[in-house]
Amino acid sequence: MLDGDIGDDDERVRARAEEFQRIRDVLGSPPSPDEAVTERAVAAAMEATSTRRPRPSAVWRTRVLAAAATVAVVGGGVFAASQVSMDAGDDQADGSGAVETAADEMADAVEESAPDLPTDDLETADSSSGGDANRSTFGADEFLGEFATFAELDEALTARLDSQLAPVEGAAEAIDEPAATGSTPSDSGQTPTCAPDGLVRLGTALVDGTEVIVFTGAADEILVTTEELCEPVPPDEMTAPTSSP
Amino acid sequence: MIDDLTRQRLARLATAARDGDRVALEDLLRLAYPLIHGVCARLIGTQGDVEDTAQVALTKIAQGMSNYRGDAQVTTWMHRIATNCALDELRRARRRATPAPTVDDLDGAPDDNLTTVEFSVDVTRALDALSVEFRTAVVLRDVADLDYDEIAEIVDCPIGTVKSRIARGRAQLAEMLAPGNPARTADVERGGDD
Repeated sequence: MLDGDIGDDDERVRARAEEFQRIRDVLGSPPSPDEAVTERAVAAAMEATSTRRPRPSAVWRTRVLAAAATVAVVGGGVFAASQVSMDAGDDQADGSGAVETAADEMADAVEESAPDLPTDDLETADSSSGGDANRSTFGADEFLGEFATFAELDEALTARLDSQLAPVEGAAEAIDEPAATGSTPSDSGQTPTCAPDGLVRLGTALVDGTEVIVFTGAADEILVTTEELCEPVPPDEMTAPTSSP
Repeated sequence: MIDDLTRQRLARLATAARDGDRVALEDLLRLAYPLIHGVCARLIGTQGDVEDTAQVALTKIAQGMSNYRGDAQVTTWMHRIATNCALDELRRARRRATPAPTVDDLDGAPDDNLTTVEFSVDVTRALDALSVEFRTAVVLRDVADLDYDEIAEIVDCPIGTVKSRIARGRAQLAEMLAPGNPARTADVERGGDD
């Protein structure tokens, strides 16, 4: 009887060891990326290290533009947009601190652009994120600082922008139309123009080396556009080898 | 798993890349990407975008190479970046509703290999069910094949804690994947124990 018990124990131990080895075998064989994915990733990473600003994808650029546009709204729109410039690759190498970098740069741009902006005029970029139109500072850094990473910020802003890109494309076609009504000079010296469909052109923002056009419609709408935004980055530009000396 | 030859090659390439050799950097990234992708895949599971995260991690590695001091193994340094990126993605994913993975998620799975596929799905689901701390420790050990001290450096906790997390994580995995566990897809699909 005793021998039988020991035998059963041995069997259980062996079975458990085999089962766990099976688990480890699966764990240690994660899905492998195919060659095309690997090459694309390598090319994009190399591109990010070149002297040019990183341009991994049109989607990424859309997200960056969304961030810039949000600052424009958080900071009062007209006044901030023309000064916003950010480098999405400025975050820390270990993956932390991205938001702080972006937030600092954006907040500086906002405050530099509109130091006397009355806080009562501020519009919050996203009321669900805890924004408060009556807070005593511009709030761009607080708003952005609510996100632990730049990618989190991306997600929130991209979702917001998704529903607003379509009308912007129509507005972009009319961007060269003369100003209509309702324009007021901004502190930055620009004169916002009113697009035929009623969208107000707030100004332009230099984002990732690209000039983008920022519109607003209703109080909390964010609308941005640029020619490049509507066109994916050409494949040869995304994968062009950059490793040559 | 990283064999010694790969570790040595990564270390040589990292030294050259840090000194400005862009060909070495490109070779390093090409060699590192599958490793980074594997860790991201196991940490994120079905709860986020693995390829996007691996891409972000690889970009950070490329951009940070000039600042790599060499006081840690390059594999440790790269896996720390990948782990941080994957954990960031998981945090974002928590705000999204992601359905639990099923066998149906594996498009084109051959019928004659269903048992293996099912078990792979089970492992993925079980990993997803582990706490992030346990999952990270198990993945860095059993997927990335890192030493305890490397893992301790990455997750910033004592080696004893790392060992405990690995042991407890493995135990929970084994329990969840034990034959007869009703949560096991393979058993559910077959209607019983093996």
